Amino acid sequence: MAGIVHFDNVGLRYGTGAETLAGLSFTLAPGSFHFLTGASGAGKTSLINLITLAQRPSRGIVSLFGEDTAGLPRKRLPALRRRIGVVYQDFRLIPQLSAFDNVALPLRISGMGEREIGPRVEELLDWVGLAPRASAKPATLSGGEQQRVAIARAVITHPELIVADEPTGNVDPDMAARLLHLLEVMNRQGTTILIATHDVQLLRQMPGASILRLAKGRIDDPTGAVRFPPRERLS
Amino acid sequence: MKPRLALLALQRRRPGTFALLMAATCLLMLLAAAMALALRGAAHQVAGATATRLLIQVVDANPDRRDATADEVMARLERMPGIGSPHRVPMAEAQALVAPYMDGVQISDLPLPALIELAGGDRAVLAERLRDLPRVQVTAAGAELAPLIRLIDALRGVSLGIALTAAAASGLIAMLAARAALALEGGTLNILHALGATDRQISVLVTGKVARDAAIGAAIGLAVALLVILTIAARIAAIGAGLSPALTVGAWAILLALPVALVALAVLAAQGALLLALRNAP
Repeated sequence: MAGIVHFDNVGLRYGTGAETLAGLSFTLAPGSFHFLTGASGAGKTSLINLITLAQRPSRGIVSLFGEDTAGLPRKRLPALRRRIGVVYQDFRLIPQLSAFDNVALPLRISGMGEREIGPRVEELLDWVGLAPRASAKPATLSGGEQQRVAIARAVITHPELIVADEPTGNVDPDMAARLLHLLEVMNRQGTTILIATHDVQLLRQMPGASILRLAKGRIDDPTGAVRFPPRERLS
Repeated sequence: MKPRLALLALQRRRPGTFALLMAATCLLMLLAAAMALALRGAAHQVAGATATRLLIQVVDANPDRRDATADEVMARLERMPGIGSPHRVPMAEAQALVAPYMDGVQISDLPLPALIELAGGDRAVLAERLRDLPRVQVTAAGAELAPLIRLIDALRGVSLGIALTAAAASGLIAMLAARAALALEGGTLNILHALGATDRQISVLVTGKVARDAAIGAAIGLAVALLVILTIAARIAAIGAGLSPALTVGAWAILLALPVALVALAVLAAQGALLLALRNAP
C-alpha cells in the first residue's frame, strides 16, 4: 500500500527479551496528521526509532516513502533520513554549536550553500522567537528554548515527514499553540506529521487528526483514521 | 558540512597523546630510513670502488729479487690486453702506511712486499699468467670486502624493517585514535546520522582531527630526526678518512616526503577504521 510510512506486521525485540512492539500494521498517508499516544513504556519511542531509521525491526516490513527499508543498502539510508524531520524528547542538540548552527546543520549536511542557509535559519529562529539568541550555545538556553531550536532544526528542510516526540513538553501554552500552528501549516502544505504526546490539550487543538494509541507494544486506532484515512487528506 | 563548525568536542582539544605517539613513530621511521638510505649509498660506494680493483703483491724478503720480480710483473702487465693501467705503489708510500704502527722500528729494515694496483682485469686469468713467477699473489679487493658489503646489506634490511614497522605502528595508532574518537563522540555522531549525514561525512569530521594531530606529530618527529641526522653527518664528515656524505639529494627528498606519506597513511587508516565501525551503526 502506498504511503509515507507503511508498517506490515512489524515486531521489535531487544536482545532475547519479549517483543517491545508486536504485530504493528498501519499506513500514514501523505499529508496526514497523527498523534501517537500511550502510557509510558507502551513503545512510543521504539516506534519512532523504527520510523526514523534509528533501529531496524526484528520482523515485518517497514516501508518509508514507498521503499522497503530492510532491503535498502546502507548508503541509501541518509537520503531517506533527510526526508524526515525529527524532534527528540531530549532535544539532542549538539553542545558545541550555537542555536543558529544547530538549526542550520541539516541544510549543511544536505550540501546547501551558506548564502541560502543564513536567511532561512534567521527567519525560522525569528518565527520560534529565538532570533536574539541565535549565537547562544544549548547549555545557556532554557529547556523551552532548546525545544524550539530542536523543532526549528526538524522543520528547516521542509521534510516530507515530521516525527516529534513530546514537542511541546517544555514550552508554555502560548508557544505550544504557536508550534502546533507551525506544524499545522506544514501539514497543509503536504507534510505528514506524527506527534507522540501525552498532552490532551494538544489533541483537542487538532480535532481532525487521527490518533494512534499504543498499548503494550500493540497499536490501537480509536478514530479509525489510520485504517480509513479521511478522503480529503488523501487527495 | 563546513569544517569550521567544529562539530566535535575533540576537534577543540589540543594535540595530545596521539600527536606525541606520531612524533615518536615518525622519528623512528625517519632515523631508520636515513640509515637504510645511507647504508645503500655506502654499499654502492664500496662495491663500486672495489669491484674491479686488483692488488698484486710480491712477497720476498730479498729486496733485489723482489724488485726484479715486480719489474717483470709490470712488464707482463703492460703487454696483456684488457688490463687497466697498472700502478706500482712506491716503496716510500708503502712504508709511510706502515710507519704509524711500527713505533721505534726502522721501517727500511722491514721486508715489505712490492705492491701493484690494477683498475681492471680478471683475477683468475691474471693469477694464471703470473703463476710461473715465485712469491706473487693476486687478490681482488672486492672479494675481500664481500663480507663487509653483505653486512651492510643486512643492516640496511634491518633498518628498512624498522622503518616499515614504525609506519605500520603509526597506522595502527591512527586507527585506535579514530575508534576512541568514535566512542567519545558517539552521541554527536548519532545525531548527525539521524539528520542524514553519510558515513563519509562523519568520517571526514573525525579524520580531520586525526590528520591535524598526525601532521603536528610528524612535524615534531621530522624536526628531531633532522637534528639527529645532521649531527651524525657532521660527525662523519669530521672523521674524514675518505668517508663522503652518504645521503644524496634523492635520499633527502625521500626523507622529507616520508612524514607526508606517514600522515596520509594515518588518515587512510583512521578513515578505514571509522567506515568499518560505522557499518555497525543503525
